[in-house]
Amino acid sequence: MKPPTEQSPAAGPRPPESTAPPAAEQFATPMWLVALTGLLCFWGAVYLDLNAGGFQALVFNRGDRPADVAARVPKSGTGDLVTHGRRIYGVYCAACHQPDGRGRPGQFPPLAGSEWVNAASPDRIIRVVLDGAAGPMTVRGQTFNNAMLLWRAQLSDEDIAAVLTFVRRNAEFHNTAGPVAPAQVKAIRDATQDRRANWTEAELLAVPVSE
Amino acid sequence: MNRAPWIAFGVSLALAASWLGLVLVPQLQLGSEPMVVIEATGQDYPLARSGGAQAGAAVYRACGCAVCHTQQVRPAAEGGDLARGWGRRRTVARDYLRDEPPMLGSLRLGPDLANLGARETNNVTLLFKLYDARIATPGSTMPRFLWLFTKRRVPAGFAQSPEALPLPPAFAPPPGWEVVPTDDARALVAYLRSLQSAALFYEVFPPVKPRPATNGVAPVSATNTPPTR
Amino acid sequence: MASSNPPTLPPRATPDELDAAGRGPVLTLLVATVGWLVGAGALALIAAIKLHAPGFLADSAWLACGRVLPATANAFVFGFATQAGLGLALWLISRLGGAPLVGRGGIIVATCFWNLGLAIGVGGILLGDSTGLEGMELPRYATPILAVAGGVIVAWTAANFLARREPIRHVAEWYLLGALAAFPWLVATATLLTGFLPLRGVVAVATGAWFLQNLFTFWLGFLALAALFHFLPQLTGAPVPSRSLAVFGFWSLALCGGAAGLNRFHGGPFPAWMISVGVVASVLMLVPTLAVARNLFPLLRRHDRTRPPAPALTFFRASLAAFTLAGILGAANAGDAARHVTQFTLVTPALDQLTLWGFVGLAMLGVVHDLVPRLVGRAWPSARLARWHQRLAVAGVALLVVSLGVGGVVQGLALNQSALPFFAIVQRTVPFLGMATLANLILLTANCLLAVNLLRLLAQLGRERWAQFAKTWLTPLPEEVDP
Repeated sequence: MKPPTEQSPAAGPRPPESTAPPAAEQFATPMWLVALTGLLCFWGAVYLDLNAGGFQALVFNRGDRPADVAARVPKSGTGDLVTHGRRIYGVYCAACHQPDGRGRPGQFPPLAGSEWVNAASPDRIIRVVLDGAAGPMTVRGQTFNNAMLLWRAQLSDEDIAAVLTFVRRNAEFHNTAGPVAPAQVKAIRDATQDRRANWTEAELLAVPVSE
Repeated sequence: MNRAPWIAFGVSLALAASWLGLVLVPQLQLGSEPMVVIEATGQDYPLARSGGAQAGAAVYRACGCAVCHTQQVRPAAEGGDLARGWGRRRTVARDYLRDEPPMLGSLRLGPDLANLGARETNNVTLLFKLYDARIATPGSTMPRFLWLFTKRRVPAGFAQSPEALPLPPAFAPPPGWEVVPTDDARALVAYLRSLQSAALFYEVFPPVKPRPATNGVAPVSATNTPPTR
Repeated sequence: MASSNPPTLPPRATPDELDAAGRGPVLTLLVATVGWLVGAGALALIAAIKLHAPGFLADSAWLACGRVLPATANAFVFGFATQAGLGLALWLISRLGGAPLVGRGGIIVATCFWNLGLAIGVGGILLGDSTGLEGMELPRYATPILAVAGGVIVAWTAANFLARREPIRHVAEWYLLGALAAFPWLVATATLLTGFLPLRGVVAVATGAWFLQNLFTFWLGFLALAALFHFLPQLTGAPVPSRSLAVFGFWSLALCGGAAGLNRFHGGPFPAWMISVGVVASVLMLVPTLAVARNLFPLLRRHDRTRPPAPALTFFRASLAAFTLAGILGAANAGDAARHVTQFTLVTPALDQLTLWGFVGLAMLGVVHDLVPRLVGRAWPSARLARWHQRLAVAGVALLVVSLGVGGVVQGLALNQSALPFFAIVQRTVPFLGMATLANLILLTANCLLAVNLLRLLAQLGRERWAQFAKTWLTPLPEEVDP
């Protein structure tokens, strides 16, 4: 090895020092930087509060809050509706239609396996629950002649949607129809606002239920 | 600050914090996310892919299609994805449960493919794109994927194979030759046609719009359990 | 400096002893670095051409654009930047700690395995075995080799750190130590979670984004900052103005840098909080950026002009500028308004390249420029080649970033006009992609100049060694007879 002083022959001399001077022992951080840090941290907290959706996994749209997402759920998710519907059924329906949904032969028509309940669209049974029914009706080949009470005043849209969803989707009743949304009930409630009479079979059959 | 253990410890702590926050917590929140039953059909969403489409996903990965194509749709408020017709809603984590791994992409030198299966239902159109995108779009910069096709001689006196690509004259091979897609090309096309993220969940559910009362089909095409987390 | 040693530590070795001890491992790393640099440059040029000329090399599957681009990135990050960084870490730790390197044989063997594993991995990507996860593309049959080899090198580096004969005194050592502490985390996450315990759904993508961000911050970024904090004071002869500001910059970078990753998936299929955390962290990155810039830019002004000009200074100056610019642009690009335009456009690769090539790459080129002559004990054979390398490299990086960035903004504005057909948008980006190709060509040329210079240097050294060897070993008889 040559001595280090002679090591830079041709192209550009090498830097003479091999170690850098250490940082100056000056304990100053500029105030503007500290202020900026505080400002940005504050902004960050506000931003996260507004845009992080409460750190919930199901909030995807930034700016939404968990409550916004939850508000969409009960109207579409059936789990809550079914639970709520079971309660309503027990209070308002089971007395006549029986807890097992089989009704009373000759007196109260069954809901289990009923073609009225399992229709593709719930438009007829929503009407029945809202304003009741009277006169002869044929259910599963049997004719019943009785009157059903109207529940327009007692049950809200959510209640009716819940109980109908419970009935239409009830595996114990062997019913497999689709759920009912409160919005559907509300639409019919509004459309039949001026009705003051029970439905008859003939009127109901005029309401289309197939897609 | 001149004590080595403190620096090493502090940096490890900072790294651990971001690891816990951005790897572990997402895994806890999303890692065991269940499939969703589509009520109308009883199928799980996302739909299972056929074997061919799964093989196609491997071709997509190997060819690095994700370098130029994204598979994610932004919400209406961000950018013009929905306006461009690349989807009917934004994409969410559930859409990728069957993807191993999800190939989201981060650059759009080509159009977004998250809903390609809904837009493009013709195998031949897609095969043409792979063979030479300039058949449909003169001047396109999409590369040719020639190794996904076999160019072979048609034996004298025989007609072209029914599998041969019906290429327009300007792009067709010389007479007596035909271009046939390989299994990889067919698998890739099956995968591309399986790309759909259109089912609605409540995370991205549009506000409930009641349909006309006379046509009271439930407005819910897919529902899932309410949020428990 | 030796006078300030505490009495408990052995006296520091002389620079010549240190260089002699470090020559083998550091030079091995740096030579491999330049090899990967040229290889990555060639791949980058192929990919850049293919982006606007679809017929170019269309016959070969292994040169598909979608394979070449990730292969380029991995060759650059793990072949060039990482190895240069490891070389810098070994050399700087020995130099600042005053103890000759130990574990030289182990480091050289591990370096060979690192290069072998990386060659297998990059080859695997070209053959179509990429994992498909952005940032973690290396196939799972290559990553364990890299993890073990890298682990051995890092362990030896840490051992050398413990064997130092002087207390920690320099800011550069903090960053080196931070990088060494972060390496096991990063490698373990990348190795295990890509191939062996794959995560489900988008969590895998989130992990990839986390890895990429932390690799840029804690590994590449810390190593490059170590280079800046060492070489800028050394080459300019001025001390870092404020030590407390350096502490502030270090810890704020460590805290903010790790969380900014998911900003890359703005609008993507992730819960809102993940994206929002990324946005906030990206904006907070302004703090460490400004702290470092405030501490290092004064050095360039206080540059002692009487000192001999240092060729490597150009690189460090450009690297510092790129670091500052990347932090500011990254924060500006994090905001929602900007993202709605720039997301999914060429702005993303532009900012990646500004960090990767501008900040890390140029700093590492400076390291190669400064260390190789020091270790070999002779200057670069051609000063002209070295000068042209500097100019072309800096110009190439600038052109690359500007063309991609401007092209990205044009592309993003067009993407948001939903009436504009997609094809028309692509056509607008083509001129910018062409400029990027030119930039890649310039960079490849520059790096070939470096390689030529290095080969000539090594050839000179080899000839000299051979002459020495021939003199001492092949003609022993006359020496014994003559006296």
